[in-house]
Amino acid sequence: MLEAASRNMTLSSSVKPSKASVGTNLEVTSEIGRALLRRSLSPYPYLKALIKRAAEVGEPNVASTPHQVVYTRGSMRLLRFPSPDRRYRTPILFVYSLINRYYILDFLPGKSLIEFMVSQGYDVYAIDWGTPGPAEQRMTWSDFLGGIIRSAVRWTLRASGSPDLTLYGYCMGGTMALAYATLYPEGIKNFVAQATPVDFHDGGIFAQWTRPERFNVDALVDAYGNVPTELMETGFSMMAPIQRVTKWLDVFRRIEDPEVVTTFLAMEHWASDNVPFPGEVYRQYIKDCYQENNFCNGRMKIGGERVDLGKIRCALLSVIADNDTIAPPKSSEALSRLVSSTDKETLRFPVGHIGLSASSKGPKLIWPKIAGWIDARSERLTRHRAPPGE
Amino acid sequence: MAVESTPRRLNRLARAFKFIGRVTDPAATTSGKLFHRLETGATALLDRLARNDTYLNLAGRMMEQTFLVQAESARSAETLLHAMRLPTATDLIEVRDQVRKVGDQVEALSLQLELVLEQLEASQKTKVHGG
Repeated sequence: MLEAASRNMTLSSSVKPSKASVGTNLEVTSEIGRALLRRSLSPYPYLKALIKRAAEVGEPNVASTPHQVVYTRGSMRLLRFPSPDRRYRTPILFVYSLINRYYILDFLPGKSLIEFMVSQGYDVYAIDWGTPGPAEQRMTWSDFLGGIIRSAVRWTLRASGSPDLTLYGYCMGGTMALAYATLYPEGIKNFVAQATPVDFHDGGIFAQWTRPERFNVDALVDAYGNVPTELMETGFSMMAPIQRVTKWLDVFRRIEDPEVVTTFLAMEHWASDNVPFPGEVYRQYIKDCYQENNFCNGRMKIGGERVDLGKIRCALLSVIADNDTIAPPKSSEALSRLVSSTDKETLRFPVGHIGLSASSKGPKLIWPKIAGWIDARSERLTRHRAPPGE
Repeated sequence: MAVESTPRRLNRLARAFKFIGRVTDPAATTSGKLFHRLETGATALLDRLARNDTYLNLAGRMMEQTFLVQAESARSAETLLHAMRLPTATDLIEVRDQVRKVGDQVEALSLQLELVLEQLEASQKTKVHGG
């Protein structure tokens, strides 16, 4: 069933070439002018309009899976992606990172993890953190976990009519969701940790850059409050500054292929869609995770409570990208040793950090295995007893 | 039987991009091979720099000074505004924080009310069925 569904998903709906939508000379010029005024570091805003014009493609159709807003709190929205053919009572709640936007999970038609799960019959929910502003500046881990995620879990269970759910964390969202699961285990039936850093001693280049003797996080947060997007963008640029520019040459060589161009533009759109990082959360994240590695050693405290991964007993799936430079495999491997779950499994795939949710291997190789794991641990819906709201 | 489609004629801009791609393609041109060697060399150099302790410590110290100057500048501006009895950004943030906390309390109260209502409904249903 899973293979048939993935075969049926096509890529063609992500490409919408339209002469009317590729832009006039004036529009192209004004886009480049706006990028110059913003002094954008990324090549994307400068080249986007030109590439679209050359390849005769329209705006990439990101985040296109139909959804409703179930709940809002500050800048956060809880999105529901209802399944037209719901088969499972147990819903899935995605918790993405505070860095970049959630819709990497709903990338493009045919390349969307959320779309795939919806097609499998899951009632899918996702937290869209939105664009944090001054109101989020002083919010702490306790506010995010005990306030926002807890409300999201509550509303997911209420809207889906289920007593429990599968909590699915990705990247730093996985770290937050793990901390949440140790403090508020009620209602969590299964946990999926995708590319989730746990042991920050093996945190890769970010661990090197944020060492306390060279990175004063207090000075940064005291100066700016929320971490500015320019700083976040500079950090990511420093990881591969040459490739940031030369990867565009690959698109130039395949400019006649609308599928390749659209996928590339969609990825660049997401990568440049940075948001400020809430200051107090960032302060504790850097100190307790990267600098002191308290998270995996049970020394991190949230709201006065110790985060003890040994308290996690629910079924756990750890999904690791073998070529991950953001959450290196060793950093994620530690999770399996630290939890008390008896039902736990690790899946590894030969992709990078983002490849787990946006590569062409997703619907063919990666997502069917994850969905299969969740399937075996989810309550099925009996047709004659539809939950409320259906 | 498969129908062969005619390759799309590229516009001028696309041809220009194609040309740039070709001259930098190591598989297609000599200039591409040279470009690739330059790219590989520059990548290795910058990668070593990004992991060099001396460079990172220096960059970290410079960033710290920038942050401290920024923080001091903001504090001075706030002190001046407060002296003139004018509201500052920090004051607004504090107000927003209070409003957010009030919102959280309202939400918690409404949740408790809903729970009480649900329990009342459940007990009324029990009375109706039992009585």
